[in-house]
Amino acid sequence: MKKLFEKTIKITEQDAKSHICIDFFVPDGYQKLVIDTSYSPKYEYDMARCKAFVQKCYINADREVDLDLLPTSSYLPLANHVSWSIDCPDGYIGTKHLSKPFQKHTISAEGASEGFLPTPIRSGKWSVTASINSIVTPWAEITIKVEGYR
Amino acid sequence: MIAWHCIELHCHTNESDGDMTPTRLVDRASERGYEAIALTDHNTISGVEQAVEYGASRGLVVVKGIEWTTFWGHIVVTGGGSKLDWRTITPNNIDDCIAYAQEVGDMVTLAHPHRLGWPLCSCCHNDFDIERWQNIDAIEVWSHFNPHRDKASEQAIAQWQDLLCQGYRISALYGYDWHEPDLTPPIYAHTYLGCREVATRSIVEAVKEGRTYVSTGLRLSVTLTVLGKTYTVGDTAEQGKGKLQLSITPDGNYYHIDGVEVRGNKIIGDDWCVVEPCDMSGGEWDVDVKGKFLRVELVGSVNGQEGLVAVTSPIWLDGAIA
Repeated sequence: MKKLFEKTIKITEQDAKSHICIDFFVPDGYQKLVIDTSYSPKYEYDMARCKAFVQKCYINADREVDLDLLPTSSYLPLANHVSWSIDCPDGYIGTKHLSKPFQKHTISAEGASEGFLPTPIRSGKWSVTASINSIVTPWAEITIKVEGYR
Repeated sequence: MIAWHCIELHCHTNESDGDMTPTRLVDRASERGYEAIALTDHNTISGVEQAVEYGASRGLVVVKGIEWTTFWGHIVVTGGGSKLDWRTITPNNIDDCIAYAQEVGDMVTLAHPHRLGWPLCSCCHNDFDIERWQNIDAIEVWSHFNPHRDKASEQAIAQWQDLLCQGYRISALYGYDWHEPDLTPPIYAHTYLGCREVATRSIVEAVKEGRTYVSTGLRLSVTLTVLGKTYTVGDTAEQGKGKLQLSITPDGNYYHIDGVEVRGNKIIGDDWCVVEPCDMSGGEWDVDVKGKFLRVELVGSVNGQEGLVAVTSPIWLDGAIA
């Protein structure tokens, strides 16, 4: 096993609804990639921030709500949510859409972890795309680690 | 020959955020009595082949699909033709993306358009400003749990009714949005499709032609007789004095079927609505068939909770946009 790549990026509310593509190079001779993706923090507990977001949510849905009557347990804590896609040198091979903040993705010709198609590990430019579905904290860090197996 | 089948067109597995593997989903769908399902994981088709193959071994048809899970809403694309990279979808090109899905023969459904969205449910509310509604085959007028009394259902039906009044031929679907095994499910619903056979192309065709209704486990027979000809849901009828006939059969596969009651029949057109008394024995009513369409909503209760218990797609009338 060899660590091929590691990067941490800070994201903010400005990154909501954006795709952040992170390229990395895979040399010759690898049979399997293990890609760890994570983001932190996962949750926002600040009551005032959460209430403001939930109010916006109801307004966007054209619904009335009195947040003083809505049990806070029905919406607290609010969560960040990032989906992860992977591209090999030949193109897109899938997405993992899951709320867990720590995920491990495995790619090889023989098989792939959930969300991805089995793909041979060709040398060249690969990429991981972080799709920022939700960021409710003022900022968060996303981290990608790639390990190659010969 | 068209027959009506219980088919669930919105299912997830652990290939995205569901709890079930593709094989477990197929097993649960068989146990539930579905005659076919569509696997529509969020932004991936990685589980489809396994589900299709295992379904074939269990006698369950699995239709290939995907749920485009974008920042601005969710759209279910069913049929297996579309190869679009979901990351390319934006509010500016959504109509072109939908047109592409149509060109490759897929069926396009607006998923849970009025569910609360970000940040309570990741981008679940539909925020797209769709212009070419003629390319939308169906809307999930009901979704997930307690659809019979949900505010999102009420809003979705209102939007659908408005589009029907504009002349768009859009079908009504229920989306279970199935994520977990749900051995003892809360109140949910079924979609019934009028298909020539239980196979992908016939299922897609049924939705595109409007042969659909949703209910809390009630199998319906809806016929409209006008000028000596008889029509059913999805047909195009002539206008005139007509007779609407409705029969109701409880579906034993529906988990809460013993708790379902019918109290009234709302017969709805584009600018008119009549409410007739009705119970589980159905009935027949004289109707003045006019306008763009005629459809039926049944009012009742499930486990004592009042609400709608069935919504049919329209019988189209001459003059609606194809």
